[in-house]
Amino acid sequence: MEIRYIGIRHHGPGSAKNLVHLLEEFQPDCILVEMPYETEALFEHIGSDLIKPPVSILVHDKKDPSRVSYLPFTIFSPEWQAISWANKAKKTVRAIDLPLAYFKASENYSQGLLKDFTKLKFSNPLLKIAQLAGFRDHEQWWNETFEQHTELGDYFPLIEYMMDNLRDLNEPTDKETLVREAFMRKQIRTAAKEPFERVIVLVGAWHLPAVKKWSEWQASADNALLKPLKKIKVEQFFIPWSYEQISMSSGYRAGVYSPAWYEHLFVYNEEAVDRWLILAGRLLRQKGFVISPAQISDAAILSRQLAQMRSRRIPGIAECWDSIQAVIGQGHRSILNVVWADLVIGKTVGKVDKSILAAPLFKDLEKQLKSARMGAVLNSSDRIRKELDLRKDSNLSASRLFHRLLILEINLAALKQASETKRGSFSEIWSVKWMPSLMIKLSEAGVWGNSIEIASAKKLVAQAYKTEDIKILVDMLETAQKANLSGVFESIIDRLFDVLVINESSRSLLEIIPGLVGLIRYGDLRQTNVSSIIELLERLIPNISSYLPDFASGVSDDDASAFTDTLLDYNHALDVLGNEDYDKMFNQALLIMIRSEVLSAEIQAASLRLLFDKRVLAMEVVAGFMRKELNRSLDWERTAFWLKGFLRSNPDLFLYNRSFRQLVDQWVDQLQEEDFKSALPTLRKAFSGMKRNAVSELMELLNADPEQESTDRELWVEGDEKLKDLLDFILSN
Amino acid sequence: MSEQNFLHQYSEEKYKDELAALAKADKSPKPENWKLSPKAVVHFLMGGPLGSKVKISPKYFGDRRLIEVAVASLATDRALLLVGVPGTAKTWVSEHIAAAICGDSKILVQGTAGIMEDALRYGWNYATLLKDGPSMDAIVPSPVMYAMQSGKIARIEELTRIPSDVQDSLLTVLSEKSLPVPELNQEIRAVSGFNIIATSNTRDKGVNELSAALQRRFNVVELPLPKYLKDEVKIVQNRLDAIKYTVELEKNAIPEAAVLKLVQVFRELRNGIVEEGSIKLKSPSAGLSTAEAISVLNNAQVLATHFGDGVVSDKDLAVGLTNAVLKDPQNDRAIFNEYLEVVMKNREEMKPLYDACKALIF
Repeated sequence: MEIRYIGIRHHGPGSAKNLVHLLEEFQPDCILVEMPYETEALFEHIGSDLIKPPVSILVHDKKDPSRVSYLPFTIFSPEWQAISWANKAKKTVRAIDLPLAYFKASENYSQGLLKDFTKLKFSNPLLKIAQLAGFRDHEQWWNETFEQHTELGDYFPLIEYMMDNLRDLNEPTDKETLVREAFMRKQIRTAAKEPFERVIVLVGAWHLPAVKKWSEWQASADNALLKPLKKIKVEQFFIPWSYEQISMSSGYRAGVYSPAWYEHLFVYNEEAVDRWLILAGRLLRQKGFVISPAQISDAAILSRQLAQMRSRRIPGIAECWDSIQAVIGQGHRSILNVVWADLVIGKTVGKVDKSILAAPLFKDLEKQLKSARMGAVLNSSDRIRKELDLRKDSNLSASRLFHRLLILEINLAALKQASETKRGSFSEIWSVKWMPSLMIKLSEAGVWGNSIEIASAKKLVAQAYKTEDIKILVDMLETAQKANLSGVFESIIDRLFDVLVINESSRSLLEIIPGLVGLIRYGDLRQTNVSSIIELLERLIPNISSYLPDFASGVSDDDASAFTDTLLDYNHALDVLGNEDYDKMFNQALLIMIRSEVLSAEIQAASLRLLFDKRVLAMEVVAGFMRKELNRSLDWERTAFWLKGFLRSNPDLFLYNRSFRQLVDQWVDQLQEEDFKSALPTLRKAFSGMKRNAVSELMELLNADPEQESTDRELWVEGDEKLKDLLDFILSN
Repeated sequence: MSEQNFLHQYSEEKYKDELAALAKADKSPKPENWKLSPKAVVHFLMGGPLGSKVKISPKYFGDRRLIEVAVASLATDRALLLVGVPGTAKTWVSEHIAAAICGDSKILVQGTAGIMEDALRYGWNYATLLKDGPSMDAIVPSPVMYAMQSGKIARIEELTRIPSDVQDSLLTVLSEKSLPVPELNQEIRAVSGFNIIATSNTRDKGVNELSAALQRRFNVVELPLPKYLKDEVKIVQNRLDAIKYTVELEKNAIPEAAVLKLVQVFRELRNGIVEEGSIKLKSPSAGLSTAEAISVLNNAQVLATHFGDGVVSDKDLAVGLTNAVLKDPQNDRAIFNEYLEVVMKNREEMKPLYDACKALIF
């Protein structure tokens, strides 16, 4: 039996190409690949029409799908090429690395991701060699020496020789490496006893020395190392992957991790550089640049000249970039940014046939997207803008799907712009982008259920039972409404009733009413059953109204503005409900509040204004309150806040109400110059809700007023001046 | 002619020894009629040890990539256009590349608005023309024509100052590598080795933009302003050492701290942000390039030698600095004053310079 040991880098076009050549020549009848043991079950699909790389094998803990490892493959992965060669030639191919099931059970496996198969394992020793060769990092050196090839070369013996020496210098001691290598040796021993004639062992270069001398290691020692390992149950399946993902997970560095470039090298051989430059030209043309074939050939010539000067075998990305910049970009680099992602990383997304896809939520997602006529989303890695008209059935179900995905934290679609009013309009704008990494999320979310509807419903309910905050619960109701999870709706309301007890006298009660009313208001559009909310309101509102004066008196001056807004929102919500009883209770509370001695001026004034607007109090009465407030000693600061509260709901009041205007005018008039200046900032805020043209109009009215006023004319004029100063101040700011 | 001390020494004269050493050691393939291989040309520009004994001095302190692209362009028969704001060493680079490639950096056309076609093509010797009629003997070659005939590099300074119709006479030169002489129904064909290095100023952009056809013949390399303070200080020091003075000045008349200070002020005003990145500033109208910093320091040195105690003081620096910054008396004054008060005043090491500037302008 002849065994050959090959050291490779995972994802290396040079390694892959040379390996294929070697396989053709050597014609092994058995190939042993450094892949987690259990992934062998999936090997049969590699090279078949059911799968198109880039794809990844996803392995997760059966009990906890959030513990995931992924093993990405590209067309230029040596492992991929070796396995598909064996499948095609009908030869044995086995996975010999430690089962992930072991790793996952081990204690140092906690962060979810076991190991990144895309990274080189030998940073430090190799770095020294790279530096000797004049490179700054070892990946670049490896890339240049072994991967950046358009022609075949016999590099494997070189790699083997180098690794033998490096391992002598840096024998690894970490448990992970030792255990894995022991397992690999064990597998080789097994294969060696079988009647194979020519065996290939394919491992990451770093493991080569430890693996090829398997016969020198004691089988019993290896077994002893493996024995204490505990095993858990895992599941594995293929998922589609993308070049974008591959370059991201590897920590992209120029010229080293560039899938689209690598694909060119692997697929086109000696034509790779020219083809790649031609592609650059085509992409730039698509972006509106005028680029002639002559320019592309000039760039190709320049890139070769540069490669020669830089002692590179063939032009790399850097040489091509520099050439494009000089020949086409007029010396500017910006032209390159336009096409960088497409050209270097590439937009290629892999495919996995439905028949072997295993994540149930993905299948469901595919189905749902299809029924919403958005199935194409999954075949592209572009960001797509979708405007949904919720009155259309298919759009409504797409919206529900997206909201459900958000609950599951699967970020397929991001809500761009809610409509102008909170839930008012009929349209939603989503930004949709499929990323293969979402497969992992989908698989994780599988714990919640086998369909997106069930999973999102369960998760939302579980979350609801974790919180006691009624505001969060009302937000969840809204989410449930948007996601159309009607059963969940009831559960959350049940939960709301549960926690009301501990929130009985809390101001949050007041704050959740507008949200609840909104749910009723848009229930039709979202087709939700709102009767339970009406029931909830029946219990809440009388309660709130009776507690309202207490809530209000507990509010500090700093918080008064916020509370005023809450009060106005509450009023608006009651308006929408249009229930007479509720109104009466609210008015009663307000009447108590305006006579309170402890309320902050702003809230008190807002309450008074509400009673005026609701026509509960006549103008004379309100004017009386106002006069009393304005005459209230010389506490201008309080008065300024009072005015702010009074104007909060609608600042244009003074435009059409002359009596109020005159009262304020008089107050401003009697202010001392200094006090007036100090009160200006608050007054400015009080009037800040007014539009500029409304302010100008008010100015005109003030100018006109004195003519109609018979008494105290001089006083008026003087007072006017000050109010006008104030308005001037507002206009100029 | 006896050895004379000229104000400006051409690169090929000044670095005769370096060029000879590089030629001797050069093993890489050379394009036809090049004195050095492209690799060696880049080595000449960027400096670095050559073997164990010789050390090549660096001429350009920026990104090696840019010089590589520039030299590679010339090796591929495409002309080279160096662009950049004033003072980014375009002319400097062009002179040294020409010297290294063909040993002659003197074949030069200075682009101006009033330039005629003769300067790029050929003129006539009217005496011969009248006497013998048109013939090749009556032609007075332009630098470009001379370079074509001798297989050398012609340099064109400020290409975009040249009117467009005159620029276009370069088209056949660059695409056909020939210069037609319609009067004689002949042409002058370029000997291999011929090429053109042009420079143009990005501040002149849009004055006489190159036609698309001409643009196509040039590879463009943009020389940026130095990215880091330490690079710029190195450039300034290097250039100061190289300048020859009419009166021999004391060595080390400019303290290193003064160079650092001045370059930092220039950079901060130019970039509109302090080196620490914490304060944003307004930039004055002046370009404040590296070349200007060199000239200010040079001035200060002369001032110190002739009117001071020989060592550059903050007062000497302040004179040049204020002159360089205050180009527009109104706006620049306010901008500079803000810089003085907000930045300079609060820096221990710049306080004397601050006082000197304040004394000068206010």
